[in-house]
Amino acid sequence: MVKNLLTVTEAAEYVGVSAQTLRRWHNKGSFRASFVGPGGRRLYTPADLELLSKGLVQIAKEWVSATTPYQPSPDFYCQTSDVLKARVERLARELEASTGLRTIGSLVSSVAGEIGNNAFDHNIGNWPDVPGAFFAYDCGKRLLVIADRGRGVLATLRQVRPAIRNDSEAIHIAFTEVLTGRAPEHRGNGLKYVRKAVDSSGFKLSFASGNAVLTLLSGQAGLNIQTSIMPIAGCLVVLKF
Amino acid sequence: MLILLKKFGDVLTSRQAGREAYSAFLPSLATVKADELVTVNFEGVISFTPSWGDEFLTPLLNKFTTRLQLVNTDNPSVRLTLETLEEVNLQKFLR
Repeated sequence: MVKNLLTVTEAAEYVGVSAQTLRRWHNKGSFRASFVGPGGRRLYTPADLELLSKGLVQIAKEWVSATTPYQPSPDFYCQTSDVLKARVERLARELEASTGLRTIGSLVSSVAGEIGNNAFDHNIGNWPDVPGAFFAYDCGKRLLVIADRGRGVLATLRQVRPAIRNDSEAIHIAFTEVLTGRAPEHRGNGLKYVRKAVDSSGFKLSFASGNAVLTLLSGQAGLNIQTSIMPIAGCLVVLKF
Repeated sequence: MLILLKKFGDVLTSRQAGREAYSAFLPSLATVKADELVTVNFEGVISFTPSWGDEFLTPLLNKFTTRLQLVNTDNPSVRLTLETLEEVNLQKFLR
C-alpha cells in the first residue's frame, strides 16, 4: 500500500530519480515538495509524483480512455460548467500576469473557453458515464489539456447530419463548417475560431475524438486527420502554446 | 449609449454567460433613442470568444445595425472573435 506522504528518499524511488535531484528541483522551484514540515522536512504526495512522472497529457489520456469510469483528481476535474468557467478565468489571469505570455494569453484562454464549454454544451443531460471535463494547464510548459467522456463529435453531429460516415469526417466538418449538434440553435463557430487562433499564433493543437485525431499547426493549409491507435469515446484536446 | 463590456466581466467566454448578459441588459437597451449611437467599449477585457460574442454582439448588430460601433478592440481574442463572427454572420461590425 502506498503511503499518503513520502519522504524525499521514498519519493525519489517512486519517480526513479535520485534524492539529490528531487532536492535540487525543490530548491530551483521546478518541482516543489507537496509539504514542507517543521525543520524543513520535505514530504511528497503520490498524486504530485504521478503528475511529475506521467504528465498532464498521460493523466488525461488514461482518464478519457479508461474502460472503468472514474472521476479525475479534483485538481483537474470540472464536474459542472461553473467550475470550468472559474478555471478558465484563473488561466486567463495567470497568462495576463505573465510578461512572457501576455501577448498570446487571450488567445489561449479563449481557446480553452471554447473547447471546454463545448464539452458541456454538447453533452449536458447525455453524459455516458462521468459528467464534466478534465481541465489542466502548465504555463511553464505552455501546455493546456482538456478532455471529456462525452458522446464525441461523431455522435453529436450525426444528430443533425445522420449521413456522416466516421470520426474523421465528423472532425473535419466540426472544424470547417458552421454546423452544430444543437441546431436549430445558432451555434457552430467555436472550433472555426480555434483553428484561426492556432493558425495566427504559432500554437499546435491535437484534437482526438473516436478513432480520429486532428493535428493543427500554424500555417497549415488543409486539415491533417489521422487514425488513432487509442480510440476515445469523448474528446481529448492538447494545446501547446 | 456607451456599453462598457468589463462591467460584465473581463473573461467573457461562455455562451450561457453571453446570453445572460444580453438578457440582463435588454431593459437598458430599451432606453436607446431612435437615432442614438450604441458604442460597445472592449477596454479591460482580457479574453473574449465567439460564443459569448454571438450571444451579445450579434443581437445588438441585428437591432441597431449601422448605429452600433465597437471601440478598443485591440485584444487579440477580441479581434479574432469579431473576424469570426463577421465571416459566419456575413455582417460587418463598425469599428
